[in-house]
Amino acid sequence: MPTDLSLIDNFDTGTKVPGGSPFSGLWAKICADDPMNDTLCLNACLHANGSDNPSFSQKVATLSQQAIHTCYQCGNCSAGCPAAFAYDLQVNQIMRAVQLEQKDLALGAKSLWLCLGCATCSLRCPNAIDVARVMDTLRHLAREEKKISVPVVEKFWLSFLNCLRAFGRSYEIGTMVLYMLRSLRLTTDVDLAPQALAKGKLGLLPHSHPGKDAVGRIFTRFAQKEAQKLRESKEGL
Amino acid sequence: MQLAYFPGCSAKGSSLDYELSTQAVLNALGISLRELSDWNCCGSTPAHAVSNLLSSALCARNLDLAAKAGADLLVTPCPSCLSNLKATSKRLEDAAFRQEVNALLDSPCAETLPESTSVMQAMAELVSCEELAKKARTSLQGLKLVAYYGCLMSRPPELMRFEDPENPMLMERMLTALGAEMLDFPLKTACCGAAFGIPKRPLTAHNCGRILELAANLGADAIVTCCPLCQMNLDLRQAQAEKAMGRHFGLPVPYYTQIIGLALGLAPKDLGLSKLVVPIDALLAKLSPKQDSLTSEPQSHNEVER
Repeated sequence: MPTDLSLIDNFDTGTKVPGGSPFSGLWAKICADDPMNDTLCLNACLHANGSDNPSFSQKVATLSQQAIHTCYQCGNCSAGCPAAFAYDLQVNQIMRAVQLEQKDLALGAKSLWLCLGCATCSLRCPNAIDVARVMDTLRHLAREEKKISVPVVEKFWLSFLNCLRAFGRSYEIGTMVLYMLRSLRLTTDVDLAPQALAKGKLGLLPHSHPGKDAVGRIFTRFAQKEAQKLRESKEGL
Repeated sequence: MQLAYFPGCSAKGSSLDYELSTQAVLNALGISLRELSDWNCCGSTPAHAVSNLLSSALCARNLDLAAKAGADLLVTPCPSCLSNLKATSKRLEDAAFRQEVNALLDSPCAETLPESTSVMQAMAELVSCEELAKKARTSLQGLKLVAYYGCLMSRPPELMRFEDPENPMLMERMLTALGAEMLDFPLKTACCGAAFGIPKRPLTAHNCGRILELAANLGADAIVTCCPLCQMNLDLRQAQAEKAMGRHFGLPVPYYTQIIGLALGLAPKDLGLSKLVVPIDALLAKLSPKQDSLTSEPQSHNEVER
């Protein structure tokens, strides 16, 4: 059990913890009402004390807008996860890693890239943490740090987005060709192509529409913004 | 209330049959939806996996087009588009985020943007199950079906606001009213494996295999779907799932609009039935004209158009 109770009290009321998160008030309310008070305090104490990288869990909490410290390891997220069988680190373990400021462990997990985004974890979390959103946030942070543990997944997403930037709407064959070249998996789904073509389910040409240039400009401005963010963070270091 | 229709990219490619059958059914029910002009892709999973800002800018452009077209409600058949549109509306409530989104657009989006909903929910609002049953020409009696909703129709619940998130029943209510026997299907909101069929095939093959296996064990004649990606994974990729499970299924995976269309007496070609990879012929053979419709007047599509 935690020893420094004053630290915990202060944490829960959000007054003295360095870099206190905007959710401290919410925690205070939850802690006051909740019979699991002790567990929450333990989490809070772990959060405040045991870290070599103290800003990580708060960064995740702020970006995802989730009270990550209310996770008490019931394991419902992992029990319901349809990709759990393929994970190296289970969802509840990732949540714990974030609580314990284990940034490298959390951002290096292959699971981040195998998460299907189905949000079953969010639905079944007894503390109403939108766990899928936390996973999304961790993916964003992992990309920022260029930690892509399952590169083929990112390559597929980028191929999709490249086509979207060019054509404004998704272009299935274009996405597949780019993905095959990027991943060097040149036979991806070729077994499905004859059937998809025969059924008229695979358009050979992209759908042209007037707004495609406006979509292209959204991507260009987004890329400029990202580049600027990167420059600023480098200057900050 | 002014409705605008957002078909989504799949409607123009891999789910042409969903688009055909949706239009045919809405037409038969007298619901007219005008397609949003010049819409763009919602960004799907890849956009929000990379950045919420990028995803929301892509969706905000569509919501803005709909607002400028005078629409109060944007209606889409695709749960993934719907999820992205709804998430964007929610995020835009934050003034700072809205400002960031506006900075990515050619011009700031309208102050008041339309809400978004699914074709299924709009249809259920406008036509009750009783009315639907009255319009039926063919009985679905004798068909054993399972309804499969996938992830995004109901999750996350506070965003999607669709039925009981663990046990939605809307397709069951509609298809039961049309005579089908709807079997309890515990995997109705399980994940099919989404777009991972391309980069990580075993994930999708395993998940689809479980869904197909349960439906087959229950004795279903078909799995009725409402999501273009789920349908493609369960139908076009069914052979991959069969390989993963070491078992043959041969289960047809029609869209709910195709089944409702059959009940309304629409022609198979107008419902795009030939586009289903696993043939639906055995199911069609079980259909019979509805008893009370034999004496009533033949249906005219124009007559019901509002």
